[in-house]
Amino acid sequence: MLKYERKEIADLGIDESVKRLTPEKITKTINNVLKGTGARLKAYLDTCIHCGLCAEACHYYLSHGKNPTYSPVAKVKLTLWEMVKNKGNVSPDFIAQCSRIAYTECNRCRRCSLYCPYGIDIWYLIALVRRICLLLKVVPQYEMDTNYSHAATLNMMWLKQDDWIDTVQWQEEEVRMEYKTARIPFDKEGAEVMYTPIAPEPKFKPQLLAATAKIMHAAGVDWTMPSFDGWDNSDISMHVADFETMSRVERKHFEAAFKLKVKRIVMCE
Amino acid sequence: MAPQWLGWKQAPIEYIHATKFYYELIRDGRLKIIRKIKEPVTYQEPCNIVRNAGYKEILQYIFHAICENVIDPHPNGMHNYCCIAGGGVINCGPPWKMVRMEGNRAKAEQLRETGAHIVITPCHNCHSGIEDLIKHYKLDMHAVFYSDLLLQCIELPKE
Repeated sequence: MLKYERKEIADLGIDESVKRLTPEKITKTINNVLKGTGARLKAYLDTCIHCGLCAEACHYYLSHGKNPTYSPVAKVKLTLWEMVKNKGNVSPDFIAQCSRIAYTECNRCRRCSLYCPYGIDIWYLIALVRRICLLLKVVPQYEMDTNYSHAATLNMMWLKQDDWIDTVQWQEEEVRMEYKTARIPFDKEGAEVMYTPIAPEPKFKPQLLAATAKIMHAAGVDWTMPSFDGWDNSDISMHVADFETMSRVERKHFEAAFKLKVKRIVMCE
Repeated sequence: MAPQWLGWKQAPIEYIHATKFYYELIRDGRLKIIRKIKEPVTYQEPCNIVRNAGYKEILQYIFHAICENVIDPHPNGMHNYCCIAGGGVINCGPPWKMVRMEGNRAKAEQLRETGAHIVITPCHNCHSGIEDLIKHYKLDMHAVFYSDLLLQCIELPKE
């Protein structure tokens, strides 16, 4: 029997949220999510032969002295399999455990799937767990905050439009101290490419925008960035499994490219 | 994933990672490499672009174009280890930092074995994740964002 033992870590997003859960809410949410999975989930659960070949692929498992509870198969067994087996009747504490496993002990790096003899997409199974935790609002606080930033501002760092424009123009000035004809062209219709950073660039490392401008200048690229929403190509909502927000963010990103009539998007990440 | 949620069969416009764009610029001679990094370097291969999007050769092309001595980590390519920051894990914030540090001894040892003092990171997540690992495991190296290195090697117009 696998026993999930970890050092306790306080996180309001998990600890406080589970207090608000009721057994009915948990069961209803899990079953709603599982209902929508169709044959894929069933095929994965039925084909896994518990061989454990995925274990050696996981950096968490290798780094914890081959502790079996860090193997990908265990991460599924300790979360989704229990939910399926119990038809969604699991405790709030169990949901807290699921949230911790799905959000902090898996990077969706997909290395495990390379070693699975059946090619089971283990990430998909972890993502289902994340989706259930998200709908129950049991998500690590910082990560949920990032998701709310996407929902409210369409970028991941709570940047307002004027912060964004100001930062880019400041970096443009810096570049032009050295290269007088270099530009960071906002909203240039019909440019060859639209370049989009992720919000931590203007927020924490604005000099990276200047570096990009210098490279574009050296290569003589006809480029542009949007001054309006859609300039951030990151989408943490996808990782949080808030697919509704994820889609809004990405649609805005694509729409910015349509509006500027560019040929393609170059994303820093 | 989002295009499907939006009811599109695929993304409505071509999008590429900046590494591929810079690779094209170097390949087509639009960016001229006029000096190379002499120190031995190693690199991190981001899961999203290497394992999932197959950019291994593109990254190799850039690394070898700008560095004289590239030391491959083992395993590498699509079998390389994750930096432990991606997939939203670094976004879980400070309370979970030690989960990341203790959870990726494998990466730290892999990097230490290369003997390089520079790790090129072509991804912001990897960059932050690996810098944290370097500090935690006291590795004698530092992480450098790939575009910073590229900038040191290209010809810039004189003005």
